[in-house]
Amino acid sequence: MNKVSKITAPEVQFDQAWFDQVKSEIGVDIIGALAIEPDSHPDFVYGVKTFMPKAKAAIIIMNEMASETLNLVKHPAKYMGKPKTGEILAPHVDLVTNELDHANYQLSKILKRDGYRSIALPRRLPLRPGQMRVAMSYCHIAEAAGLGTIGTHTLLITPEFGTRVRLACLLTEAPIPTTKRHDPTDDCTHCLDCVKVCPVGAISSPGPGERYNVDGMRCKFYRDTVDNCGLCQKACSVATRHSETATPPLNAHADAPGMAEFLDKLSGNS
Amino acid sequence: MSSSEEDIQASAAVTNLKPKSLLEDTSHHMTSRTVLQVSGDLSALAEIATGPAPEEGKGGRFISLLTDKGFLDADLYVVSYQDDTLIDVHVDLAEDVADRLAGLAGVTGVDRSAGKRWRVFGELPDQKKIETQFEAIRFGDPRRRELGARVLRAAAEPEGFDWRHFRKWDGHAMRLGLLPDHRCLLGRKITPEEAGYHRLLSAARPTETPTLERRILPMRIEPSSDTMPPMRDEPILAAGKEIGLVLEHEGVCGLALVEISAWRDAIANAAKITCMDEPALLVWPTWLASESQGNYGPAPHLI
Repeated sequence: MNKVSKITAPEVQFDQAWFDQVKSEIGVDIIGALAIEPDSHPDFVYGVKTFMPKAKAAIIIMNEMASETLNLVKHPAKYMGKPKTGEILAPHVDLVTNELDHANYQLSKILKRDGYRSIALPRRLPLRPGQMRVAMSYCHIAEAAGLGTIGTHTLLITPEFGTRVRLACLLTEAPIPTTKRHDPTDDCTHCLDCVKVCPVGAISSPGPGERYNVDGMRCKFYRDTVDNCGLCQKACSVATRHSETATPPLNAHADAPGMAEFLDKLSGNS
Repeated sequence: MSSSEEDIQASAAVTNLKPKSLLEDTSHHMTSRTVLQVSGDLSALAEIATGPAPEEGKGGRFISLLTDKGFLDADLYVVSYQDDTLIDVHVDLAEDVADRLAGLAGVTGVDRSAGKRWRVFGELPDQKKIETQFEAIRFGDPRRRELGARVLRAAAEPEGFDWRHFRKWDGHAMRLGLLPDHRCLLGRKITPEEAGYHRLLSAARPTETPTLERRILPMRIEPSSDTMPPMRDEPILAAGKEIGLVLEHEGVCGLALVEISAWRDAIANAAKITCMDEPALLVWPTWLASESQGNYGPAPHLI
């Protein structure tokens, strides 16, 4: 029975404490929200109206993908008689996404318990009629919720894990405010490493007036052929220092307060 | 054809360095730049600029001439060439810069016609290195590696059909939060620190994080339609209050001079940031983020 009563539900404060509690309860690495407002982006409003017209907010949750797995991805030419280690990426993505879907469902149950109708959206949304675009972009919602930046490769780059994340989205009638990022940083370094590494040239450097320039069809056909690619994701992880096999993470900010001790600890000097 | 151009063609024909690559030559032709050739000792340059000239064989250096009061004036790429120094400068400033350099102690001559012998190119990092049988000087961009490489190529080389316009290179520089050239500075008093010069590759790192009231930061406009008005010199507003100014933009990406505390207040108060009624997003560039608050690790998401 999907009966929701707001009369009996206790008043919930959707503040940072609520986010922290939910995050640990459903076991996700990152959580954020984007409120639906009259002047929200038309693409966002389109998606909301498609799935839950009375929704007041979208919640984005993310889980980390293992650096160890992603680092096994190689350019096809580099396998040459060696096991195709990149093939373990697809099962790993499935695993992380399944966990995320489960957490998303748990979150919808929590919100329903509190008296708010919610819908946990699946990992793949239907396309818009006649277009190669999904009804709603999780990456764009996450960016607007201050959770990261969409890079040149159109993947979301988070400050915590770089591109090594999977996303899920939930629409709810709960009046959750937008999460904001204090001192927002452009997480894309604009190094264009992803453009260089793409084996089918699907990513181009953006021209004037463009944020990114990706041939989605070319990328998708190639990914279908090799059962996931992940090269741009791996290159970006290294470039933004989110790859655990690269130089110590956050090394770019080695002069930050407390960072010297942190790096010493990582290298076992303390 | 001048005698110097004939010399270059002759030397290229004799040396015939490498076969012409079959790759598309899509370098960005910086038609807004020209080259000065300076002979003599340039050590006095450090007194009127943000840094000294590079040592011979040590690649190029990016420096800016300063006004009397220490504000940024003209941006220069400086590279040693044989016994002289080549300086890549904006065409509009070439005469003025040449006059200032000629007045420096130790400088024995400034050849203002070097621009007829050299063309300036910018190669973005995704572009493959172009090999040419003509003389060329190539060095990694001294500002950030994400800017790719700077190449001076002999003007005697035939023009390429696929050379790209320099505005695309400018757009990339602005995405990175770097000044494409001096036109962003015209009529403004901007210090090197405000433009992030202390964080450039060739600069000595500051021992302490500078606290500045305003900075040049990259901005992105998110237009509500397919067209958007030119926004140069337009104010950036948050809840009706001016928090910055657009210095230059190329399409949706640009540079803004931002009042940092007013910007932080706007974020804390959830005020919409706009320029000419279009939503605008101001961000710290990744390379400068260590001077922001709370970006040493996962960013705090404040309600």
